[in-house]
Amino acid sequence: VNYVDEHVRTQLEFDRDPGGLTPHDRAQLRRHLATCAECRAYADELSRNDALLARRERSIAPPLLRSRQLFAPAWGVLAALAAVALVGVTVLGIARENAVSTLPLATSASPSAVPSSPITPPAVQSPTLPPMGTATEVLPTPPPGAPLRGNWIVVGKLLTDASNARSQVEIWGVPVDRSAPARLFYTFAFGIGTVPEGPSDRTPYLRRQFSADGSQLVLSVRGSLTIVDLGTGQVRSLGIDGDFPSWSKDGSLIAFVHRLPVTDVVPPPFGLAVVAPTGGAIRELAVVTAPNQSAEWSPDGRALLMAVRDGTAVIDVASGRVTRTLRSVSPASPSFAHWRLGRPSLVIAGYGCDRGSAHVVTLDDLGASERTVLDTGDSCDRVDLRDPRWNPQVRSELLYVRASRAPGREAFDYSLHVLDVDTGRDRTLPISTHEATWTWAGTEIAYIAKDASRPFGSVVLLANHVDGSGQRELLRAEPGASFFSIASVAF
Amino acid sequence: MHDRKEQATTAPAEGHRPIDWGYAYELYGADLFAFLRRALGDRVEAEDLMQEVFMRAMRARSHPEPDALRPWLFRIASNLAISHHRRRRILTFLSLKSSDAIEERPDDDEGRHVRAALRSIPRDQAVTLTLALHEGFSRREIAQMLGLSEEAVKSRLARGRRNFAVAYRTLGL
Repeated sequence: VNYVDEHVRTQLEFDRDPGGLTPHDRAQLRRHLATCAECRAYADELSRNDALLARRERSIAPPLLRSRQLFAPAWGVLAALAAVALVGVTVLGIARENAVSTLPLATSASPSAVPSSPITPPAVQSPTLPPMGTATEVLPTPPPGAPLRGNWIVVGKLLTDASNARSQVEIWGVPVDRSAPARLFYTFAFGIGTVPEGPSDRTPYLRRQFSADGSQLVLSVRGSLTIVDLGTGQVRSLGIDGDFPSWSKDGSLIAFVHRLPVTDVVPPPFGLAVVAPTGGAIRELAVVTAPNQSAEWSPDGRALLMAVRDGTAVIDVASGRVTRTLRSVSPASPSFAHWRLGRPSLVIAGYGCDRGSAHVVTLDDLGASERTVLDTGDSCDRVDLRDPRWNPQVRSELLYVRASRAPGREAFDYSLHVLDVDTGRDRTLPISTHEATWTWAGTEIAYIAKDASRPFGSVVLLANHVDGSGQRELLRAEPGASFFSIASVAF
Repeated sequence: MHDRKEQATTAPAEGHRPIDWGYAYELYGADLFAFLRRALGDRVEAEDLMQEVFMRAMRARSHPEPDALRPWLFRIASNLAISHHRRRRILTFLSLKSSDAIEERPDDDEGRHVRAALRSIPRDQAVTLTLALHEGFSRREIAQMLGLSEEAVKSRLARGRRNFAVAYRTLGL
């Protein structure tokens, strides 16, 4: 087969489809086949493969969960239950609330120092959460004037109604200080867009969505870019359609994915664009092939890293040009990379199915070559590496999540790892999670404990970064809710 | 039966009966699941997308003309399959017990190998090959579903066949 001429090979492939070749080309191909044994072998192989691909296997559609509710939802009952549950959540959140201090915020969402301001009692008015299923979608808390101090872990919580037809996202802040309770920042109901196969930004990757000083958060609320001031509670829509926002580390721009204005194209094309946090005109940077993820900013705000099908593209923000494509690792997860000041600067985790096993690579800087710091030896259908995050205090250390499955099993097991990129030492902590983050001191890891009975996880915990010991619960979700993303912020 | 089918595939124009999604699922669910499982090479991922396909279909503002529901659902499934990312599994089948799961037949090595080979080629090619050969859609229909020209579909099928052949060979089959 290797000796089959490229042109003949292509002709044979086209010939598999009715009308794939003109009668003239087809006749010519037949004449050639009569004299070329390798070509006939390839033709036979294509024919056999087509038969394999056409063969139908026994197939039974999986039972849809709660299919009765899905197709015939009792909306009144659901709305009432959701309202009761949410009022309970509100009461719990407010009862546990006691944190107030003053703005401005001292540090950024990119950890660099640990503030130590005390947390003072609150003067917070009770927010009214929207019952799930209503059109109300913005509930900023704390109210204007309520400030923040200290180390916080921010998590996203997802509540989905019994029909799975509507979700509500809540953003919670949890002071790492043992004495401080959880606090609800913001919540919104989520609807699905009008383009059925369009992007779906229901579970934002929070780490990339804070402003440089950590005082604001950008979210996509029903496909519209919205900025929440965490200190004042002010909510501001930019009036721009976009998903998967990512705030630059210099604070000057927000990158986001959006549907390009081209009609009658399926699937609709998606673009990566940037806009100032104050709004205004957007600037298109690139067409993206994988719209369901945010981009990772360089520390200086000049470049963006975006996963593409066969690797990772580095995009120069000023020109929109792809300046480099890193092909050694194909990201499987939207949380594929972390880019920081320092050396190494960049870490990317993922796999390359056609290039061997799942691995982690680092780059000292953007001009440096890719260095594999961890190779699992397992192929992409067995292992998926996700969410690498540099330790804010230990230069050579990062955490990542390994999702793996044993041969013959379909379900993934999740484990948390701490990797020293200098020595290659890879510690597996006794923790099952899909996403984790460092505290700002770099000595503990906050994580969402994986829960097999629901998507993502239901408890946020803190543990020692060396061996996972000293676990302490920070926040627990009520039945039917789950935590989906976690980030560190210091105020 | 015919009435329900007609209802399931009737566009819900203003004031008309809504689509019977339960029956639409009965009609097309098995085909869609077979397609997704084959194209994705992963049963769990296919299960995730099955619900996503129907959810998005149900939430869409407009629905297709009568008798066009099947290709429309395949269009949604195809485009979701091409762009799907594993992390976005918020709509998993939360309580799907092991007894509900479809067990692999022990003797179905061939199907498993085909899925493994499809999993290792570019997703858009795997989807296009499966639409054409497994589901029997014509080049024109696939072009409409994926927003491509027929020539582009032809090229994608050719590239997919070549990559599949290499992958299947590489797997030692």
